[in-house]
Amino acid sequence: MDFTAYPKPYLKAMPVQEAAARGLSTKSLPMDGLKVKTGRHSWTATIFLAMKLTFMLLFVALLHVRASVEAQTVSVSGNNLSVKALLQTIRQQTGYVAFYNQDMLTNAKTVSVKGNIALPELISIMSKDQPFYMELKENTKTIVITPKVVPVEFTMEYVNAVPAKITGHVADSVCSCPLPGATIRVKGKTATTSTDAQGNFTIEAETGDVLLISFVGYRPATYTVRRDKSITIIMASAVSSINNVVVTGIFNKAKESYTGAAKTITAKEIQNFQGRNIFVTIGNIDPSFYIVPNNSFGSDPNHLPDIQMRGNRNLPNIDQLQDNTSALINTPLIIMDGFPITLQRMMDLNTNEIASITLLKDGPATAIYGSRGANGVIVITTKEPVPGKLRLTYRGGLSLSAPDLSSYHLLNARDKLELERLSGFYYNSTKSPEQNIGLQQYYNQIKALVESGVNTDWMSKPLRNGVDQQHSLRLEGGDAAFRYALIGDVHKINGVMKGSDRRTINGTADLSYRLKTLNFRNSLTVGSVNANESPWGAFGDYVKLNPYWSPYDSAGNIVRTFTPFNYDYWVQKNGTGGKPYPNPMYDATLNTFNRSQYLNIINNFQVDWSPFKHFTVRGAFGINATNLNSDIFKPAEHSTFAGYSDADILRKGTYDYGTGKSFSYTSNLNLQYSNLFRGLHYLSIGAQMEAAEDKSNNYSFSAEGFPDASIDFLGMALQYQQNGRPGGTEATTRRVSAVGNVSYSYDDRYFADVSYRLDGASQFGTNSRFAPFYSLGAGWNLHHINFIHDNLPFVNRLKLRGSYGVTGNQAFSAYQPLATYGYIINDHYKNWLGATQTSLGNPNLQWQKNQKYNAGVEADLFRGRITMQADLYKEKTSNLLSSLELPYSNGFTSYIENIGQLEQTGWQASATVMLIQDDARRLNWSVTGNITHNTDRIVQLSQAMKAANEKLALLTDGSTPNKIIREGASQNTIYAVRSMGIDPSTGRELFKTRNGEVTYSWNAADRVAVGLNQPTYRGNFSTLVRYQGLSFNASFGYRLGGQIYNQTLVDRVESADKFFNVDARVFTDRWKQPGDRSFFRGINDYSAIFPSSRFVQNESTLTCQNINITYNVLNRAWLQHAGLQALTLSANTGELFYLSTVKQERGLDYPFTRQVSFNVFATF
Amino acid sequence: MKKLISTTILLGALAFSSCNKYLDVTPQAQTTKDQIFSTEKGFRDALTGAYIQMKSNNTYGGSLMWGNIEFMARNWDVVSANSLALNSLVNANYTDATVRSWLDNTYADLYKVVASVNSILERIDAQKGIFTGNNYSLIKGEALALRAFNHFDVLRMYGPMPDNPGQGPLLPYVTEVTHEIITPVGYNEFAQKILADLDAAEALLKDTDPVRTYSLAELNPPTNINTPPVVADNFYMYRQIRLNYYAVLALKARVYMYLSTTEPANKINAAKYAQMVIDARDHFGAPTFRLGKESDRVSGDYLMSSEHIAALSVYNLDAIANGTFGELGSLARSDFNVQDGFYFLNNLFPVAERTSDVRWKEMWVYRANNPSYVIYRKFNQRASSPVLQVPLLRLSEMYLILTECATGKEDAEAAYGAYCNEKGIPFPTGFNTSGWEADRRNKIIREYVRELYAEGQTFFTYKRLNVTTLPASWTAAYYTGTVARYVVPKPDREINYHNN
Repeated sequence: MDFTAYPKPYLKAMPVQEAAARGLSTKSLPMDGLKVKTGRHSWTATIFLAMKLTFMLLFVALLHVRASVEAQTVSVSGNNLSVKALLQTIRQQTGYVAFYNQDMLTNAKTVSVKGNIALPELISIMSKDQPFYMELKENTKTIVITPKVVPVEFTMEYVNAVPAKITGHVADSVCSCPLPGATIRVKGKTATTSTDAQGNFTIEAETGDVLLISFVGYRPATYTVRRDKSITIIMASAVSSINNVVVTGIFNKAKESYTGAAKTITAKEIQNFQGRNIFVTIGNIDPSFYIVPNNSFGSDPNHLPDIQMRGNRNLPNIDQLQDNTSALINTPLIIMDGFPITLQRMMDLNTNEIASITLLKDGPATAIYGSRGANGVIVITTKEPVPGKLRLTYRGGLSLSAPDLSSYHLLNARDKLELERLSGFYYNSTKSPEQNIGLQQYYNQIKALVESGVNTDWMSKPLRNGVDQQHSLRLEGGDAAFRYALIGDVHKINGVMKGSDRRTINGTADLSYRLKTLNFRNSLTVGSVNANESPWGAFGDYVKLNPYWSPYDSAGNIVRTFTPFNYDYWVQKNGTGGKPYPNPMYDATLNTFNRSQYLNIINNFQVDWSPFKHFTVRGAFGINATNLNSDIFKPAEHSTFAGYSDADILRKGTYDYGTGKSFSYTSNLNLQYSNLFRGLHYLSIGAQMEAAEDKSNNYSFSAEGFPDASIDFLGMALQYQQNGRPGGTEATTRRVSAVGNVSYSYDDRYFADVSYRLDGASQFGTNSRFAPFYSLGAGWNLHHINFIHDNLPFVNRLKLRGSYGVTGNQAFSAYQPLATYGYIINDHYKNWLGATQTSLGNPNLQWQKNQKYNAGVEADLFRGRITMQADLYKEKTSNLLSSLELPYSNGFTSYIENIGQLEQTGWQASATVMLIQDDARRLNWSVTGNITHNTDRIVQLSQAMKAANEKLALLTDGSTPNKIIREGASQNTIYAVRSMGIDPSTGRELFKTRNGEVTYSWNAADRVAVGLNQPTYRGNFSTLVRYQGLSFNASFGYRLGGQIYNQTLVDRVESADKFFNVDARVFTDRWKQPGDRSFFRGINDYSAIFPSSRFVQNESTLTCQNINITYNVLNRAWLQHAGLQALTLSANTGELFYLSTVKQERGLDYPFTRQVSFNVFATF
Repeated sequence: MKKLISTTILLGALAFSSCNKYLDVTPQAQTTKDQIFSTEKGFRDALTGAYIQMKSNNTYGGSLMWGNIEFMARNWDVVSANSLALNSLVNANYTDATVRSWLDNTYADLYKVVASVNSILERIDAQKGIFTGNNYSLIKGEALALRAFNHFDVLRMYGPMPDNPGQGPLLPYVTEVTHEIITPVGYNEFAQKILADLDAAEALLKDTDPVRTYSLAELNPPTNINTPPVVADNFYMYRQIRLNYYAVLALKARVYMYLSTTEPANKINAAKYAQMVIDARDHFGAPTFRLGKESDRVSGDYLMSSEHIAALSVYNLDAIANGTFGELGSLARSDFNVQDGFYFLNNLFPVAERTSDVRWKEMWVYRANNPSYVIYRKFNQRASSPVLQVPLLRLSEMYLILTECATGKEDAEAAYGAYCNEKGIPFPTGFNTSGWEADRRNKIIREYVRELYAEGQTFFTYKRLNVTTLPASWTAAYYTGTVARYVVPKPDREINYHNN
């Protein structure tokens, strides 16, 4: 169960005698409260852990009883019963646990009651005339006892006493994260202070003083000082969904005074918005996190998507223009618990262990990552061990996925045959009468098959309904000094293509130990992933099979080639050589595999030391090692080898093997200091030094000659691949950096933030080894302004902030600045070998420079009923790496230089409205919506790039518009020749030339910008309803505006290969005779198709991203009976429907899926 | 606290002082420029790399040897009618896009070798200390010679007519490896830079080159002998396939010869250096190089390796000869069988003169499957001890230079006569008494073609002598020499960058 699920209108500061064990979001070790002082009464106490995720400790007598009485009423009789005894009875009968301090009950009066009494009534009787309040909390099944404020006069006894110092710690009620920057005042006195980065504070106060703790975004808390000992104050957030600490991965910042644009996603949200994988989940929550749609790979569980945050900040280089490999360089930096991980690793994480994900977007947020921050940063923190008795948590999930084929509209057998006949495949005047008779016979054979009812549903053949399973176990416990957690997780995803799956096993051992002012923590995670590609090959190979073909012969065996067969018919189809068409299903029946696996070990070690107050030193060392290999085997019978000659019989059967490893380490030293001066000036200073190395290499080679499918062992290959040689890549990069950050806030009203980072990286040229990055940010909390505070009472929070930052991108290949020499391996000179310079190198090569401007506003209105946030940004990326052309006389044709400039502008806004907030009936209904808009423009390109692009602009190959990059335009511009539609008299397409003339002929030079392949607006909206233990969340994604080049119309309709199955529109919608007004050209027009604006369509989509229903079992008695502490059940659907204005086939090589999953979450 | 701060500062300072070293990462799969030039072996390998680059298909392993340059001189005819670009090339239609790309590639590859040797020259003086023996002088000398050699052919090909070069900037003489644009220089300056490099190379190699001492036989020992080689270090051997001391001299002779077109005084130098090569003696007192003759031909050494002053080692020359010049190769001459068996070749090798000419005998045969073309057999290799090298500079050329530079008829006849004697050319009466210089010119042109056929010299000879028509119909097609044909356009890219 999670407290974030229920907004708690008021949860008072809860004093706890002993310092609670707390976790930091960054897994830094809490430094305060390390001194475990033994209180007077502590010997009577036993630590008892009440709830998961609530780290409140309290002292109660430990009792083991069986709950047998109906909840909510208590059967009790007696006079002068002690409160303590009554609480024990309540606990026995209802399961309600009391939170209190022994001291509070010392002066408690006895109570007399009789008979069955409702619990709330009993509580009110018990608390009558007592020196404390009692409060019943139904959702957490707790009774909170807080002392009545002791009048200040009492303290006057110690008039001349030297002011005593009180130390304490302030933490968030949900995650126990420390709250830096909370203000502590002593009621009636001048003493005031604030918490440091670790949430610790020291203040002069005496017994009886009342501390007033305030922190915006949280309910104010009070605490009466009893003894001069360390205390912990837990604060509840004012609005449940706000996480009040921004986890930047380096320095933690109070959200109140944070100047950057960041989005924090809680574990609860990850659950509510669950998608097919973690990336989809994040995209469901924040639209600025964009998964570049890939129509080919659909829902392939083994495909790593391309991720962009706030758009594309890179240009492809010349060699990348043709293929679209450039997308990968937009991947944001991913930091898990302070150390970088790969995108792949993030995909394979155990999502149950994620405590929060923070998306850092603008200058101040990302500048602290310097040369790696340009693409944005994803900071992941994992859950920390919670102390207490040994506790076991289980989470199980079952997912069903079904292929979504709604975008496919294929012809049935009868219509397909008719289409072939209309296309003239069965009669050819150039052929001899005998041949034509053969064709007619062949037609009749197929006709007979169709009449007999053959209509194979080929799409269903390679598909299945996937059943995924996930099981995750967490074992944790420990005490204040030593804590541990052991986590095991198995996740098996079965894709909808038969045989395609991904199995992930993760194991984590998390240990922490504290010794006086030192705190150690070590976290070891081992992940093993096995991935299998479907032996069935590409889905598209089945989509195109003719429905009148049958995969089986009369005996029920899978056929190798389809029958009937006619040479003269198939020889009409180019490239088949008049051979019968092979059945792709046959290959799937063979022992063929395409699998990859990797083993990843991450070990992070961390030491925290707090030599004095407000100051913390943290040293950390992390290693990340991965071993991977891949195996692709095709036996001799595979259709690939059908064309081999007899002489090559021993070459049939291939095995491609690849192996690689990577190792990286990161070590850093972090210093933080924060303090509040004069109660007004809050200053926080941090510094970090870091050194890191990434090393990777991989090798691959191929062998051939596997005579039999049963021999699939690489070592048994007959020989290496003919003319083949081993391949491989190798890269080592190193990086050192120093980063400093100063934050200042004045009375929580005005705040400013400055960061500076110096990065040195081995990828930079020797002449510019160190790159400076910096950011400036400022903000203004308007709700603290008297005018607003007094006149606009509905404004609870209104923050304005603005920032500027410079970050970089070093995502270029490891050795680019170096002048490299390579040995000439395919030639020699007499008996000498020669070496030659392979790249000119550029010792002046610099990082890409990314300037980010951001302005934002955040607001909470009407006591949290409305929460809003909006950001406006502009980014200028310069120093883009690009090839620069050289005259031939320099000896090298090009070199890499920092040329090229891009610009992004955009905005995003989000709002949450609480439509119903009925705490009494525990009914909530909220609606959230967000929207993002991003445009990009190329400002400057290198000469070489321009030349290469203008060459591309005159290229006439293929029907897909090639990417052309021009200054002043967006990278996503679609260039095609303007179309005037199909001429009704001829069925041919009419084009408009550059000069506006009408012509039948397509000319590459006539291409103009006809669309923009990116949505104008994108966003999500969702609604969340909670009633008692039940919650319902539905989220939708939309995109509006923007164009798409509908490749389906080209490949599957216009230039459809009619020898195979095609989109139904070929049969129904294409021009057939003069006078037809048709969108599609003539049915028998086989001429090549080139990019035309006719296929550019406006795209708007609506997706049902997910629907989630969760039920929290609140019946404590039942739970106890079942031996559980908490139980949650949930059901989730993923990608239930997808509506689009563009009709195109989706999931070409791998279909998209619809998903339903069920989860159970139990704590023992 | 103080301790802490000072420790931190100390550690920080320590860390950052070693930062630069830490950030120097060198790749495993490749080596860096700094690394390769840290050892003597690295310099040797880089030099070898430059020689391998010389074998590029666009330069001396193809286009500038027997390929495009010979088509431009009409020594070959276009075998395949579909080769539209090749037809454009032989017609000097340099605007054809494909032709342009060939010419551009040649230009680019010549400068690639220049860049390679410039890298060596850029580093060698600072690293002088690491060299043993004569390595420093040999490597630097050869690198300079290679730079001059490649630049000279850039000048010959893309430069102006040597008889009227003009004053304006023409081509860049590149002496550094940089991404700065290199300013082109004028004809005279370019030529002076070539000569300066050659002077420097000559000085370096004069007393260090093993070819000054040992005979070619000693430096090119057969693989199956038991006696140890005369020089222990393998790198000092096979001087014939490197730009050795005499190659520098021979190249000087060739350069002065070319420059004599504008400045006749250069003939003195041309003759001087040609004579120096002819006079070269090994430590036995025997001539280092000797003209190829009948006995060489009989033994199957059609390339006449004894007269190679400098050559490029091409290990697969046999395969190239069989492929490129063979039955199905693209390099062939059109001819037909009349009179004495050949029609066009009869003009180049007159029937009466060729009976004992070593460049004729058994060198030309009709294709078996297509008798309208003849195969040239010079590059065909004998089975045992094949000569797997293509000549860059030959002793024959030195004799021709001597002949051409001679001021008096007798001197010219002496030089030419000695040459004819070895080659089997009848030269009983000397040059024509009337207008002997014109006769000499015609004979010289013919010898350049016949002697250096398929070695890339014909075109440059025509250009140097501004040949407008051939003395007799040597080719199947009519040949017109014009400035437009002889001055090959520079790549557009160069023009764009140099603004000229």
